Amino acid sequence: MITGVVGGILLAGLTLYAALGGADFGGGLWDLLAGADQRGRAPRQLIDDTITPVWEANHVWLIFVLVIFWTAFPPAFAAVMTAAALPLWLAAFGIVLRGAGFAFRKEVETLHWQRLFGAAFAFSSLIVPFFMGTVIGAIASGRIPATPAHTDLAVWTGPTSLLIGTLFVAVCGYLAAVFLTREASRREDHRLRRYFAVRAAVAGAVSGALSLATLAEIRSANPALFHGLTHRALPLVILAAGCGLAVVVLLATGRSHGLRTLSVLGVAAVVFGWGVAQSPVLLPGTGMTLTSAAAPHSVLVTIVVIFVVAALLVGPSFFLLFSLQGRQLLEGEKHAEKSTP
Amino acid sequence: VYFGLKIPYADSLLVGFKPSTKVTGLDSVAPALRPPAVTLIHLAFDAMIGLAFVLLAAGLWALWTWWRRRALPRQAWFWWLAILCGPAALIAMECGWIVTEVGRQPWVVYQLMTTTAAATTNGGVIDSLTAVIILYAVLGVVTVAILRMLARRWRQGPQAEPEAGVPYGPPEEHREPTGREPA
Repeated sequence: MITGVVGGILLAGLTLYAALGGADFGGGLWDLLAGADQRGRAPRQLIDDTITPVWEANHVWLIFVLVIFWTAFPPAFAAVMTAAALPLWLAAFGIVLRGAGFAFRKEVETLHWQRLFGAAFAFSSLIVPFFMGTVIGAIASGRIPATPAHTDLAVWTGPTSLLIGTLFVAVCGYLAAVFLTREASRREDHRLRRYFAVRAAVAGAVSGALSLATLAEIRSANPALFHGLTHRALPLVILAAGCGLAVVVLLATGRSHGLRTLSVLGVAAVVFGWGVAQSPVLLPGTGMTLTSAAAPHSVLVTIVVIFVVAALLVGPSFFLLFSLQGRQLLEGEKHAEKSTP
Repeated sequence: VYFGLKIPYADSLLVGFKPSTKVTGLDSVAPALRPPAVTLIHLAFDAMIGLAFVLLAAGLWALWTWWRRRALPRQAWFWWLAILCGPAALIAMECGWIVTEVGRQPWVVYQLMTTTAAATTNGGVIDSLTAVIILYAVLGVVTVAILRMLARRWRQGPQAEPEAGVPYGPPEEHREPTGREPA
């Protein structure tokens, strides 16, 4: 029972990271694809404005997920960290380079250096979700052994891993484009709204196609998970598909309200759909379940208590951060500076 | 111990809050389970505590003059001390880490798991450590360079702010010499 609660907390953390961190990575992706510096100026400016106040807060959820996974299910954590060490290292390097690139590029004087750090930021925004996706793919397709001795390329380079890695990149782009569409329409910048609405629709379609391909691949890679997705978790799968379609319809009809909620709900449905379909199995192919891989009862109780306290403390702070950002109260200095010339 | 001050029962008071507490020493631990480099741990502990008192003294000095005449001390060597306080705080913190992390070896979780048992079975630990050190060394150098550049720019005043807004992309073929987007 309590292992299920902790599993749910883990999925909630994954959802928050996928939605908020994902949008953050997607911002870097659109920055990468914005083209040459004159043409790409307006979208890059909007990306910069929307990411700057929140990008550090959004990555808190990665730490949250890792700590819960580590303390609640130590043997599974050890197996994943050992078998998929290489992609996790690459993702970690990407995260460090991304943060450094994003912070440094604002401060350096010459275009040359700004481009170098900008490229580090944008490129690592692409590789981090990809490598994280390959690890999720390795877990979902049951390629993580129970007691791996060392990292193995075969673990995370299977078709499921590569598909989910690509899917993660597409979903990040989709989320970011949806958020940026909403932001541009709130600023009544119709040119940018159209710019990001087209990209959101394209990324949404690519994500949908990749999801179907992943589902087809999982059918042969992990039949038990496929069975879960098409039976027990079917309502969540349908919800995810419905949210994706609704977002595309809203984008096509030029509406912006409800875009963000629907896109985040879609991501949550995918994450929880995976969890519900797979549970109680924790690492497919190893026999590790939520119960058998769980830490002692007292640790799990502590985790639930800490989660409740953290939610009470962090929840209002995040609400304040996002509402301040929504009212553009965090960029006052920058806007004043921009409007002077 | 050289130049030591003997304070009777102080150790017992520190550990158990009463003079009769028996302090368990390292000699009660089997030699195989004792931490390595005991001298290093001892010196790191001394450095941490010593630096803590230096920092405390600097703070008290400033508080004292502030309380007496609402101003910071005028003595030049107070300001030299203040400059040293920055690195000293970092060194004290690192010494604290040495005390706890080297001091609890060979355990990673005391009496539950040894560091050897907790270490990854993957190869390439030295390689990845080297990569991390190189990465952070480069980032460290860049951070210092950028901080110095910012300091120089601020010394020159507000007009020295760079003109360009968000030029992070590759160069346009026909660049406007002003670097501003035409409206």
